[in-house]
Amino acid sequence: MSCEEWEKAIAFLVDGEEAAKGLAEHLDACDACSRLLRNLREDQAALQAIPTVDSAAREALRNDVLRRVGRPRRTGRRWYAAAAAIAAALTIVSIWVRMPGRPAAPMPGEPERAVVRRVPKRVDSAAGKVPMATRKAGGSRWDAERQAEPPVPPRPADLSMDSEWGRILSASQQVDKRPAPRGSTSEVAMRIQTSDPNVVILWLKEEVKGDSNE
Amino acid sequence: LATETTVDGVLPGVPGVMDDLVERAREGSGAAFEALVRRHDRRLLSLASRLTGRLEDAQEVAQESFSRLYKNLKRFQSDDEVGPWLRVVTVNLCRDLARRKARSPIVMNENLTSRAAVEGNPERAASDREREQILRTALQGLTERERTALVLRELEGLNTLEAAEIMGVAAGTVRVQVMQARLKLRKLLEKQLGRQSK
Repeated sequence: MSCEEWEKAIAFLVDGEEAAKGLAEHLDACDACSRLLRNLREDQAALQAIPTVDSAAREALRNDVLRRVGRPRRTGRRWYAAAAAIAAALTIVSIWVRMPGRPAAPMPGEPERAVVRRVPKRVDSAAGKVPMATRKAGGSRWDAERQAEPPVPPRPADLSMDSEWGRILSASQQVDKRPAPRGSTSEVAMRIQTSDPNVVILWLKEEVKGDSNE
Repeated sequence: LATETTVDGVLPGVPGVMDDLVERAREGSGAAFEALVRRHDRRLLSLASRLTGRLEDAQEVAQESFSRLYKNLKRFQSDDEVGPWLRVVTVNLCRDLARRKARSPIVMNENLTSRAAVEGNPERAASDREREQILRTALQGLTERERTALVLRELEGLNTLEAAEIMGVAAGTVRVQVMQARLKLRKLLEKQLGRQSK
């Protein structure tokens, strides 16, 4: 049996197993193998002496773990502070709600709707007049109504957004109750009052009469 | 029955008394879970640092192990089951990490203190640190399975059957892996020491 084969038996011996048959005699006769046995035993002692981690590393690990699982170590004071802050906030809110001078906020409900008859888009910029109706007068009820209406003031071609909004919003205050003919378009301004009296949502949309996808 | 408890809420030497930590932690007791962590952190961190060779990696692995413990508290009937389960999880996580890193060079960390340093012998501590560094470097030269088998047997003090159970292999496999690891480690150490003496 060669020294290379005895090496395995020596390693098993270091691991606590019984010595293989003939190993003791070989170790007596072979310096290299007896040195290997000595070295392996030293390695074993050195491995067992590998340092452990210090208390700071353990403490850091504990803190990380507890933070990660969502259980902070010192929770008592934080909970008391949070509960006190919530209680104080609720007290302030209840006092403010009962104050006599506080403006009453309207309850949000059905939004107000105002229908604005659509302004003809095409404007005769040279004359500043609305173009004449192409259909004959009396042809329909709608035509008759249109002709009876006062002429719509012309819109300058370079209307800015602000003036456009102002026009629509002021027009939206007058609700047109007449039934619009089928297929005609109109702009609808919806006024939604929020719980805050100072905040009003204005929603503008275009509606086509008789359009199911309104 | 003794009535004094340690800081960890554990009665040393009275196994039955330990059994309510898992139950209390499961019911939402942070103190009980912290006591569980405190009970196992040294062993787990040591195992992970010996397997990974880096304290940062060991911290990451141990943290993940405890996090999984927290998520799996329902599966334990008693505290005695926690230690072996944590060891298996840690070994598997170290194995995954080793595969990901594929033997990256080891950076030693000062937080891994030697026994001589703890005992207050600076001269011996310096030489010990050097020796330990060589040993840790050599350990990382083993295959992941050889290293795990050797660390579990030699550093964790487990017998072959226990190590085999953790590694999920036959006892005979662990026996051979430990033998191979010892001989390989010796060669790696001779190489390292020979390089140093030149």
